[in-house]
Amino acid sequence: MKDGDLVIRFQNGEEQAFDELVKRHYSTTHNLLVRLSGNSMDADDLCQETFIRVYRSLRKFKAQSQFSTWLYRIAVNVANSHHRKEKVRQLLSFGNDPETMAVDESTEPRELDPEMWDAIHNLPQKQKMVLTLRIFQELPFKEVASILNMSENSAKVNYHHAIQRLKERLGEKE
Amino acid sequence: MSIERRINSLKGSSHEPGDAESFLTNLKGEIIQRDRRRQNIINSVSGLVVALAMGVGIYINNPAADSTFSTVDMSEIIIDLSDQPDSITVFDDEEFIVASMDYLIGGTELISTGWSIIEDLSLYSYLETGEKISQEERS
Repeated sequence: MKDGDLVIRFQNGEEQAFDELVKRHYSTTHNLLVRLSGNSMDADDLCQETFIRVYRSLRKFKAQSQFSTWLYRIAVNVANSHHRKEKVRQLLSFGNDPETMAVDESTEPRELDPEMWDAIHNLPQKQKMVLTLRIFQELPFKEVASILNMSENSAKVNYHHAIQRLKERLGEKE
Repeated sequence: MSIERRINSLKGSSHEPGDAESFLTNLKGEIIQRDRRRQNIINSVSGLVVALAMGVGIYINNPAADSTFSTVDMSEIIIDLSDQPDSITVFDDEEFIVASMDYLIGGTELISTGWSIIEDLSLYSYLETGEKISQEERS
């Protein structure tokens, strides 16, 4: 059964259709949020927040885009909101954030290539989002643009700048 | 290794999230909790608004509300400073002296009456003692 059918069933009062949608998209949404937030602990909370917003808004969803596109858009908004809060928190704590320092990084995907992971995490937020959606979620530029509410061309430019910045930072090693 | 390849190699590092079933259970619990919290806030706010509206309504519609202070006629309490002073009790200096003299002169009658009473009493006692002496002499 397609996502669209499940959405219609939920809108007709079948609560179990929502459960099925969560089970289908939980893993990919969580992975996206791990990459956008930088750690799995924050991603757990953000993922919960994302699906709560989905649950509250699903009855109004008009299926003008794919369900997954709409879901990722909500996830990106939640991650952006979290990013802004984190920035303010870090600003107020003068960079000494014991909570962030206490995160157990051994379970993070950072392990595989910490240098690259940190470089991606330190990209400007928009570039990081384009890169993450394009490479890790394997979405076409058109969908990336739709999720981030920008033109396809703008998404491509941001992607290009992200790659350039990573090359400058890490140095191209052949 | 090119940057693109290094990035692509990170794809395989996808973090394994927890069990979807337990996530769903927690999610539903959180939704119910938030709904309750939201309902409590809505109830509290609407209760407050109703109470406020009732208070305002009672205040506006209560006829006694406006006359709480006007029931006491302040005009009777406040001294009218523009009024003339009482001419019977307030005197000029000259009038005061004359009135004092009247009082003192009138008072002399009382004093003289007093003295006459004392004299009368003395005379009475004198007569009484004189009568006693004459009786003793006769005996």
